Amino acid sequence: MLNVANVGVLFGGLAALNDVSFSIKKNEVASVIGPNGAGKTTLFNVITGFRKPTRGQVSFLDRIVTGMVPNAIARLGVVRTFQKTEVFPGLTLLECVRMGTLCHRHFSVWDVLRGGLRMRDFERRAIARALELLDFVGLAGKESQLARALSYGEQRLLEVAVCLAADPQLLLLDEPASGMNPDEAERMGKLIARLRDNSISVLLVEHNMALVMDISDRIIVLHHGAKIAEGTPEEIASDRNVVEAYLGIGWSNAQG
Amino acid sequence: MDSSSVDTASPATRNITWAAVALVVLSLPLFVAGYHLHLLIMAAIFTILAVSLGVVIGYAGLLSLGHAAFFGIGAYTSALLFLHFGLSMWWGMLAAAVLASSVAFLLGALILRVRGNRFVIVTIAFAEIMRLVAHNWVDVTRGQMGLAGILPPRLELAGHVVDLNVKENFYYVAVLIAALSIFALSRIARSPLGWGFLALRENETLGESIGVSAYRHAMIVFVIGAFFAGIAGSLYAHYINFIGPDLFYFSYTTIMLVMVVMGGLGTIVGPFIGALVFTLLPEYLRVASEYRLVFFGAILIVGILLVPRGLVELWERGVGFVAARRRGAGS
Repeated sequence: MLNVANVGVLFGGLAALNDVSFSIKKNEVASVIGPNGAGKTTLFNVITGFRKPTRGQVSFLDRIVTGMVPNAIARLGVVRTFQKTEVFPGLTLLECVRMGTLCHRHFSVWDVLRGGLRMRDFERRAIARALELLDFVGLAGKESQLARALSYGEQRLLEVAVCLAADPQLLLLDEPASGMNPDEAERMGKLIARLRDNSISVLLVEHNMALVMDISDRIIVLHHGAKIAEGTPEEIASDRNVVEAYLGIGWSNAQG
Repeated sequence: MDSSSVDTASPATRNITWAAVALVVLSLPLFVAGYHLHLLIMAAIFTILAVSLGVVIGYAGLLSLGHAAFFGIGAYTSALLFLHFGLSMWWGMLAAAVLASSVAFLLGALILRVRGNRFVIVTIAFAEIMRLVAHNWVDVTRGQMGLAGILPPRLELAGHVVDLNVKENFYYVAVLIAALSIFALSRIARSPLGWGFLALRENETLGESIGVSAYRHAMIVFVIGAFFAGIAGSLYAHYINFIGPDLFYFSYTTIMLVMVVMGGLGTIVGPFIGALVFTLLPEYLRVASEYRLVFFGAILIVGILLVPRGLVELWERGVGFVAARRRGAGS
């Protein structure tokens, strides 16, 4: 459903991404791994419209999204989280999550002044959906707390709920388990697996290799902005280049 | 800040509170007259300005410091239409609101793509440019001499002519328009459109990534703010009967900003209270003669320290107290 074709990004003379191509199928969990500075977040920014690529293009469901603004790409069904967790700090959890429901509905000033059944119906459904999603990520019962009052791990979960409210077909998660303890990371892993069960495809950037190996259908390895390998977790774990560039000798020994 | 803090009181308590406010507001002309009534009319006009600016700043987080520009544009539009074409205030007010919001749309198209500091500076500059236009386009605005003779409209109610030159009568017109403005603005702020404003204030990057267009919501809130500032301008022109370029002064924007911030950001009721307090307070401080502004400054500083969320905090404690009493009486 997502197709990245020959994408290159230049920062000045430095190639942050160099001729990267891959695609993601429906109901797939794919991961992008690689050392810091390999271009993973830049890749996310290109896919979601936060950065224009110098070369190449991205298409989603056969529509070219390169050049579209982020909110338009989100309306097509591609939504992301951020490496540095983003929430709406001054809003309650309920207010945060129901924000996502605005993605596919636009109201004019006249609509909201007139009010009426359709509007109230939308508001009711938005709130119901928000509560359902808070429950889904494990934050049920906290809907009237302020987002800024949550722990770091909880904020990550909230961010996922906010994104899910926008009803994405493809969810991009930028290091969702970073800074989490092993228990929380495992919870996040289970959550991602449940996303796939709900027919949401996931593209994941993550350094927690246990998590990546566990849930990915396919892994793409970036190094110095270039794709050096792509394959199933087993193939990647035994790939000599990948072990040298990223996983380290210890990993292959531990696996072997 | 909790944007829905006003919603936390039960609907019954809220209705009772608003009914009490309405009763007091409507009966005020029975008790006050003359200069005091004039101040209340000014408070009604400033309520429209403060509440509309409050939605722009407090809900959408757009620090627009050019609200006085739209106020002035509204006043001049309405005044010129009356003086040259004999259009009554009712039509003038509509034209004022439409023109002010159209100008906001054009300005917004230029500057709302990049928000932040540059936006703040441009809004200040825009108001200053408008002041210079009013000052120097003498053929139309009569410059520093200003425009005089802007009369209130003729109002006929059930066969009786209501003379709006009489303060008591104009008071009700001003209060009605202010009430309608508050109603419309609070309805917008609480609607799904208003949720989008909050995304802009809280985290526009996250908003964008989940499909909430920052530009679209910034534009809508900016245009709405200007619309109501235009209405206030028209009301002001036909009440005072005279307008000059000083309407565009930065000091007008400053006082509106004080009303919004001291009243309570992110609420409707806060700027309303702010408008009342900060229209009346400086006038009643006149007893302190030359120390007036010193006292005013001291009150501002102490206020910010004691109730950082604004006067709305005091209001909420009041509503909470009433609610507690009701619960106590009911059990």
